Amino acid sequence: MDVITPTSVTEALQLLKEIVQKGTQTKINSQSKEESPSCVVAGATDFLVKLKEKKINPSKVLNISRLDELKFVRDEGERLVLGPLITHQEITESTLIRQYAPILVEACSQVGSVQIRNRGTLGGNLATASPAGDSIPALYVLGATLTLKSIKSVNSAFAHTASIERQIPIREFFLGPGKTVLQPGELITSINIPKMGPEEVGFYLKLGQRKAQAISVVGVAVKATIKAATKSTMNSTINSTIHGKYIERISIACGSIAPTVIQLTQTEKKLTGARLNPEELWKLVAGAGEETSPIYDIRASQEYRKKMVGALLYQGLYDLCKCGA
Amino acid sequence: MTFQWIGQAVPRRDALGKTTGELKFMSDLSFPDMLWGGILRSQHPHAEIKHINCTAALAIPGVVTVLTHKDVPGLNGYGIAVQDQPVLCGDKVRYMGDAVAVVAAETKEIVEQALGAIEVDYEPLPLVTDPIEAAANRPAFVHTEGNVFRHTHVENGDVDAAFAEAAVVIENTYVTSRQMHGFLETEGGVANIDEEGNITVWCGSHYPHRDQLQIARSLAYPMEKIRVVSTAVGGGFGGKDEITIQIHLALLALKTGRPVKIHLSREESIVAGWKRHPMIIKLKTAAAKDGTLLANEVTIYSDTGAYASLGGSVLNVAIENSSGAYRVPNVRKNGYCVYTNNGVAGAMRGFGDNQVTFAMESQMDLIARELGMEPLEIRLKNGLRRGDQAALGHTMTQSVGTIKTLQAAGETFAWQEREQWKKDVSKPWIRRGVGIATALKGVGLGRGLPDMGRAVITLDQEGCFTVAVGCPDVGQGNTIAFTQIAAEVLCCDIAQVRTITGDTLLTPDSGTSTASRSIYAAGNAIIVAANLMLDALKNEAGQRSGLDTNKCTHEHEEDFEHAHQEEHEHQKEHKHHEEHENKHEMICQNGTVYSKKNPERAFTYRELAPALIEKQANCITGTFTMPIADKGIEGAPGLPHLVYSAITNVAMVEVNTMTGETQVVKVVSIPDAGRIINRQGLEGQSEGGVLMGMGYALSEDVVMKEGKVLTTNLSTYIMHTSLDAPETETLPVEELEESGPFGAKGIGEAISIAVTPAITNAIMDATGIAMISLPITPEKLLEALEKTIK
Repeated sequence: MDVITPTSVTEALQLLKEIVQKGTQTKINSQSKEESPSCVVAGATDFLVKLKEKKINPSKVLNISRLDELKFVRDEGERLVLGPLITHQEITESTLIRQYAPILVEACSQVGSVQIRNRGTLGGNLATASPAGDSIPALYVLGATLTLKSIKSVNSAFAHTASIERQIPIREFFLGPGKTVLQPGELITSINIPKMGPEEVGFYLKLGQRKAQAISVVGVAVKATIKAATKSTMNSTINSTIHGKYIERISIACGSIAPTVIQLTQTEKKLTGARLNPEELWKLVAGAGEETSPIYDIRASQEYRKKMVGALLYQGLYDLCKCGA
Repeated sequence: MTFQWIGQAVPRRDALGKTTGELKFMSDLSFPDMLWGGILRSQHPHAEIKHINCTAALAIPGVVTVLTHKDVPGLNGYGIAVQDQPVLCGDKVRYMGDAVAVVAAETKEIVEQALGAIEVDYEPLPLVTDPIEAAANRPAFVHTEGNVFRHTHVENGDVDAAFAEAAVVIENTYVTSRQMHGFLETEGGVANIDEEGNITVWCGSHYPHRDQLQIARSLAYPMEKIRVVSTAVGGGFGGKDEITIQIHLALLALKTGRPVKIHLSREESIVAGWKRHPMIIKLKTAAAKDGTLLANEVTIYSDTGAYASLGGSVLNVAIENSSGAYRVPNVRKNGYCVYTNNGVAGAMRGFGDNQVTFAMESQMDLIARELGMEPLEIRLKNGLRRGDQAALGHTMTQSVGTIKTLQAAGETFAWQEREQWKKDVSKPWIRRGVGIATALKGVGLGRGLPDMGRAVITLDQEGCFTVAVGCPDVGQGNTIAFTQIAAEVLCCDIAQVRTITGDTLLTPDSGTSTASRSIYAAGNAIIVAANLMLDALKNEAGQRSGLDTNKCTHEHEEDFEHAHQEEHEHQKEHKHHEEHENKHEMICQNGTVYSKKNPERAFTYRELAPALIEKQANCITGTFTMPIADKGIEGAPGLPHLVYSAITNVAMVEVNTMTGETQVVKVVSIPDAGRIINRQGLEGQSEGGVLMGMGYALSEDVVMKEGKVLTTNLSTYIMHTSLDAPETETLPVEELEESGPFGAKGIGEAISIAVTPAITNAIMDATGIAMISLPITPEKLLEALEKTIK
């Protein structure tokens, strides 16, 4: 196994292009040993486990963990731009992200353990494309887009640094467990997150088998716009102030319950316009799991996972009610 | 009585090295020219071996040797009780962890390659996975002698008459899980052979002296040419009591003449290693209207897996404790230890007690509920006191802390304010509950099994002492406790005492570091040796002061093998000596000896040491034979125990009724271990015991299907982390045991037993549901909650 460690993005893309030209690049999630001649690694928290379990056997490894130019958080006005090599731990400690994308902070703080959060990167969590990746539901509801970059296969008469970029909405990035639209030769070069507005609130709730070092049994992310109801929509018989607010807009994404993270569009529709009243909310979210298609494994049954979608959603929304959001 | 060292939180000497990672465990050792070894495990949980072909493996460059059953020079079998487990399987395999071949090669990678190249033809046999079916020898025999390794039957009183007159009878079948020890250091070590043919095996173990015997037997090699070093062990909890890899290591070293190292991966450890016996426990318990227990009918099926190991003894400890810490005048108990193809089960912290205490303590809450009694009230009413007849018919002749620990539990804030705390929930889906449970655990191996503690104390030129004790430090910290006991008796600074443990060459055989026995057994042996050492020092100082103390001390030394058959007899005798010696009035203090007549002339131990060395009187052995109950239990070898430690736990839990999750908020541990030797050590045991007991209650289970492990690593075998840990409070009571060192009993096991039913009873308190199968996973609890709601 050759490990190549480039020092710039340009060099990394150039190397990737060469590798692709020589043979088919396969991502680390490839199930077959023979099909993994090369792969890109950052924090290597998934890669090393798969290597140890002999699920992969790459001949070449492109180690991008030294690319400092991909470790950043930038405030670009309407949006935050994150470098893919930012670690989960750095995300949880960033004031900018805490302020403008707290849902992502909640999600990243629940990944693995401190050690894993120190190594594991946001870009890695995306490229690994596990349906249980904790950052993914958060990025769904935040409406993130990914910038993917590669070097164009140009003929040698032209400058060899000519690169192409494309923007992919997070919802279009994943194709299945371990499968993304990332093309051979492409790297994720930034994750772009629209800032949450003052009226927007949200949460990420994870159900794991323990409080740390746990793979999500179910993960639910929500971003919602909460508005005070006008008098005409208010029911005068309910006197509590918390009932005076309603959900204007809501975005729900769920992990570990389908081949990829999915958006719960039906439940979103049901909840749009709903008042922040716990009893009413329960009726609207109890069946949310019906939108999902989870698997049965040693961690939980399909039925349990489905039930937990509604349960987590309700518990998170309940807290929003009580916080007087 | 005030002590200088007993009861103090003297820091452990291995603490820094363990914290920084610099301390070397046996599996950390490396030697020049060392080979790596590996074990080929079975491919089937139950199969005949038709043929083994090692040709291809041997042809791989770098492979030094491949050994099979044909290469085992001595007895191809091991086992503490019966040697039914092959070192290397020849004719059949009985579980997925069975060893079929061993390999030694130049690198770890080549070992892997070689293991993959060994060809074994199997003829699969019908699987034996259901213990009740297995007991009827269906669908196949795991061993030709039949699948019931032991049937224990004990009756006392008239059970049927008692059931007929009972006000309440509760009947349930409890099922317990296959918990694993989860030690940080998986089974690993190194073996080497020197030019003279001496084999040394460095490998974590609870009892290196027995490993030495088992290795010698299988290698047909002289015991004295085998040395086993065990300390430091990276956790044991019973899982390194039986042989793990010691024989394989020694065999490879013998055949290659080079150092060989084996270190199991976590995945291999889970498949091959010992586990807690899963049990099916049927209890039918009767009580009178006032809550007095009348009768208990117990049937236990204990799944020992492919080999017996300590399964018979575990079953008997389960039988012993299956009526809890209570007076139950009428019992009928039947236990079956059965062979299956479900891995292997052996010793694990609690040793059969955890399973039945969970069951019986659940019964107690159900009876209390039926009768409208408080859980504490019914326990206090029935709790064993000294002098009571226990359920098996024997008398509790020694100190029993049950009532004291229960009373202390009743006084805790957790118990007193529980109703208020339960009301104070912040979310509508949360229900709070508080549970209590109590347990007893016998100290030592029990009646009918040879059980001795030994210690050797050597005084050196500097006036310092080396205490040598066979019982290894499995991580629990007995080394520092031994040091404290020695320094206390020797009346010197703790820095003047160093203790070595767990080495067959350097330490005497003091029995196992299991069965909550090492402080009690070895501690007593240290006291014997230390007192003799004091006599020698006093004698020497007396002579120099011109006093004649010669006579009585000598008498004592000649007599000592007999004098220490019973520690407490010895203590009496010793007092007698002291009285006798009073006229000489030699006093030991702060590492000096002086006569009361002339306190200005104090001899330091250092001053006296050369003379004792000269006289060859500087090395003293102390022996202590474990006292046993005067009567045994018919049909139940090992029963009863004489000395019991007690424990009561109070657990506060929050159940999430939407997800089924249980959060343990706080656990109060109230152990009675007699005199506490090291407070910090006790608290460490308590915190670890709580976490292990909580894992047993809520999450830990090696799930098997068709003889194969589904929870293959720590990602799916769920042990709790520090974030899951509840607040733990340890409030020991000290019901002194006169036969114990300074009144100490043992704590290693009891501390983990009652916490499980305290938690499950708290769940019952929160939800009204008695969960009768462990672990109580969120999914299982949610299903039960949904059933009751509907």
